[in-house]
Amino acid sequence: MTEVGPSAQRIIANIEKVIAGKYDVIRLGVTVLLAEGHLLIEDVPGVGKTTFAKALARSIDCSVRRIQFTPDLLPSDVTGVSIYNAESADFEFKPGPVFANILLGDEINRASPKTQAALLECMAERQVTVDGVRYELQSPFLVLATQNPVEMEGTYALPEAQRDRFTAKISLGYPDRTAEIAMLSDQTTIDPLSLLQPVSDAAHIRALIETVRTVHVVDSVKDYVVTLAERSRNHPEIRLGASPRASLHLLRTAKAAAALAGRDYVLPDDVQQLAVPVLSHRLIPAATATVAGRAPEDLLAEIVAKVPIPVASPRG
Amino acid sequence: MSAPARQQYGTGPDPVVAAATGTVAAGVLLTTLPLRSIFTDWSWLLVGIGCVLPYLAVVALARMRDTPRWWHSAVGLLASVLMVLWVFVPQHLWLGVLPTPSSFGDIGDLIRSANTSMQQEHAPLQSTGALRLLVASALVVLVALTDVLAVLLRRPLLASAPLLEVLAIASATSSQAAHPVWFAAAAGGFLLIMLSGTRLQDRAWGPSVDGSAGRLGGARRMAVTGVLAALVIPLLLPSVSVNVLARATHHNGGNGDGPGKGTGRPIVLNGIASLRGNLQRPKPVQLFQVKVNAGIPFYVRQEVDDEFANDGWRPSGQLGQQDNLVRLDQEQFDIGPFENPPAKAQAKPYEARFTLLALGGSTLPILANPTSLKSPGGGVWNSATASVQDATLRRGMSYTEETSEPNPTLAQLRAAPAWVGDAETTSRLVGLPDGMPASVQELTDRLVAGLDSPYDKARAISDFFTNGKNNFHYSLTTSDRGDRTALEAFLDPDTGRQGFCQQFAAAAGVMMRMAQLPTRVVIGYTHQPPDSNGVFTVLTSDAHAWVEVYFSSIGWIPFDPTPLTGGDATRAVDLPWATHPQAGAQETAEPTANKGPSASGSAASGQANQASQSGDQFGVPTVVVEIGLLVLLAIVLILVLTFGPRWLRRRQRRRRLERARITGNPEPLWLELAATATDRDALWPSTVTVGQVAGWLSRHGVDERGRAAVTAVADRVERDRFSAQLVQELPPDSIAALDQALTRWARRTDRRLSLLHRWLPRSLISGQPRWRR
Repeated sequence: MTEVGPSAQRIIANIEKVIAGKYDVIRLGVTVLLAEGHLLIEDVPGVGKTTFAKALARSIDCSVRRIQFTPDLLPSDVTGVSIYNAESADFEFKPGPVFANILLGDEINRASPKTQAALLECMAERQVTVDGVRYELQSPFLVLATQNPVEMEGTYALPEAQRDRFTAKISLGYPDRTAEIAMLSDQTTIDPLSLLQPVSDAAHIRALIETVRTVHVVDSVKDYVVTLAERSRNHPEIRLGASPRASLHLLRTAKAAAALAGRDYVLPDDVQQLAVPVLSHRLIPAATATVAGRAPEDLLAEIVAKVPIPVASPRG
Repeated sequence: MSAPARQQYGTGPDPVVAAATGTVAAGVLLTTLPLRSIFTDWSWLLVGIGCVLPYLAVVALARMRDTPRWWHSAVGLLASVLMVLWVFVPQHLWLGVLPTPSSFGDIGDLIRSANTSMQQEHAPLQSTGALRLLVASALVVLVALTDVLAVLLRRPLLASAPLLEVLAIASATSSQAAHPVWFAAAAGGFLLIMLSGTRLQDRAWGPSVDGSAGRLGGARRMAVTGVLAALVIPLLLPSVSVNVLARATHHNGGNGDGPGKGTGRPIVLNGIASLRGNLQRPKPVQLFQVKVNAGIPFYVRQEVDDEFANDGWRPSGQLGQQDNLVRLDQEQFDIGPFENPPAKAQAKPYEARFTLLALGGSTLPILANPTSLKSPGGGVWNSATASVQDATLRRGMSYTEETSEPNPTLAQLRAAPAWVGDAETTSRLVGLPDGMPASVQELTDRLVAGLDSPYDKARAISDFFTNGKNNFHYSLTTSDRGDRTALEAFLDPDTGRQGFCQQFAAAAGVMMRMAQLPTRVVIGYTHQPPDSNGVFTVLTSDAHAWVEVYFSSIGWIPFDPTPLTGGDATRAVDLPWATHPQAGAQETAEPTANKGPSASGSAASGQANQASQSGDQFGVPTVVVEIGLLVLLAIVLILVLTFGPRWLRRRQRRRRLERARITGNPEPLWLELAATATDRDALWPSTVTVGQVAGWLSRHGVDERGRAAVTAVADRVERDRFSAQLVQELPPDSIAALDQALTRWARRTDRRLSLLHRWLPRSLISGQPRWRR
């Protein structure tokens, strides 16, 4: 457990060289990586979504592939395709970009739902089935997708099934004034991204993920997670609440967050902090909430503020 | 402060202001409770409340909707005035509501009637309609005035000023002191108004900056002190009849009924010595003054009871026979065959000058055995009773008596032969009604068994009462039991043996007659030793009863069987032939049936008695001991009530910390933290995680060091609750740090906490923190 924190801190520090003043977001990204999840970065253009994704990818010495999602992108462009090999007189599978440790999907909502759906199996089951043949993906496997929330013309909103497969959604937001000035001085001369050196590798990340899996969770915290999910399902202003997969993702990220904090046990605090980024993008608010201008984040924050934290001691 | 003093209330209604209206009115009503001493009933208050209600309703409703305004009070006052008219003069109202000229005529009549009854009657009196009108009108004006001053102008101190008039009226009108409870209630009301006004001041101008607790804290402390003082101090003032000190130091005062009612009227002594009764002691009144030329005379006598009947001694009709009477217009007179002490050589001669102060009636107070008496009020000397009757006692009247008190030696007394006389005289001096209780006769026989001389018998019986071993003690009430005669009840060692001088004299008189001694009961007064000028003043509280035994060839010799102890002992005149036995004296201890007559009581029981009666031996009256115990009990109770809850909390904390120390379980620490937070009204909500508690508490008054201590404990609690292993050990310094942090926090003044919650910690009532349930 002791090496998870420092290793993660090294990765975070590395990324911060490129994206200044966004510690919490970067930490969340690393948490999702260690929780074997996938990250959806939603923000306006130009705030560093792609830079963040690339910086994360570069900080880890592993295979990174990038897909620029466009309306004419086909599923086979993502997963790979079987091509007839005249020499062997057989169909030969040409792996697509998903066969990498980190898949950077830029502007994911610009691809057609058909293409987006190509990612479903990869993300959930970490495998690709082409022509009846199953191909295992590499480990670790992280999908970092970005999307732009303002320019909706010519985009296809992510289907619910797809959104649910993203562990967390984050927004980078604008940098603060000093960070932006620093960025102006740094990035006008050289591209700091090009100077970024990996501080970890795939094997190390795999080891860290294994460690995270051993983090202890008491029943009362599991109960707390399920209560939060239930409340989101029963909330009058939420049309679609958190799925069981969402509960699972929440608990996994909580474990990763605990490990990152150097603990081998999950606290309700971990769950509280991650509830909004992990659950909010999966919720579909009811019309009343939309009309009232209440975002899913607000509704979730309200739920978190109302659910009592577990207090029972295991001593009884 | 002059600028903010003119500051107006903010716009819009304020529930605190509306509530203060009711509080102030309640305070005014409490303050008027001492008026109860003027009236014999409560209807004045009920009617008063009814008349005040319209004002309160109008003003409170208005203040719930708007900031306080002058016109609210004006409309409220109008409503209450209409209510007063409707209650007292409903017959001439126009449309049943509005007054007409006739209504004011009716009011005038009522006020004239009230004026008359105030001039002609003495308080306490029944509250008539006219008086009720006065009180109700005054209450309406008081409530309105106080409300305007305390709430509208926020001048609580000024508002309390008119209420002082109520106290002045209550104490000036009635001759009886108001009960301390009403004054305590008035103090409570007074302070309620102050608190309410101060709260409004704080609300309008912010808390005072000069102290941590501010104005409101000061007012609260003052309220508590004031109410306690109002309750405790009256109980300790010696002049009030209900107070404990007065009862504790109350004298052995004989006949209680009669004296002291109305200082303007003459006081007449009740000349009956009853075996049953209660002694009520009003404030002592000076009855007469005596100046003697030498020495300390025995008690002043006034009446003689020579017949025992119906559980009491009273004068018999035979005493009025003409042959016993001598008119006092003679210079010298014969004091009769039974009064003249033959042993003139032993007589103690006095000249005494009496000056009457408040004593009335027709019998002159005199010293025994007068040789010369000149009474300006006339009267006749009754030789059978050795008293002067049929005189006219007037205030300021003076008369001089020459007297020669008998002063026989013990040898002379012992030598006096047993009574022998004719049947009629024997019946008069020794006779008792038929059917006297056999047990008393048996007791008498045991007391005098083996004694030959009449003096020894009389002494044995007198000492029986005064010897502390026999468990007689002075009390203002007798222990009354219906199934026996009062005499048996009084002498019962298990349930009785308490009473005042009447019972002692009456019982001793009966027992002496049972021992065939000519006996009578004398009613008169004890007195303090004369001052350097030979003057002493006799008060109503000096009234007393004792017995006289006739010894042939010597005369009537007094015995005082009442055990005068403590402060009363100074008023007892020592009789050489009947000195009260000392603690060690054995000879008059009550004989037990199996031990036979007299002499030596059981040694074992003697010791036991000696131990149990030590209070008597040191001259402390039992009643003082009892009251002392009661006071002690009350003090203990007050201490327990005051400090008990906080002590319980401290013990709870000690135990929790100890449990945590021993078991290494951090949960008791966390529980204690939650309990302290509950006490401070700062318990974190159920959605706050353990890790967030330190932050929460630092926002609620926990200092920086305390925050660190809480964080350290929180870390252990988190590990204990959520990790795979239980916490088995706690660093002792973290426990000590938390203890200190909680102590520091608990000592911090928090204005939000009410007095009730500071006195009774909330966690004691709520038990577990409410989010744990």
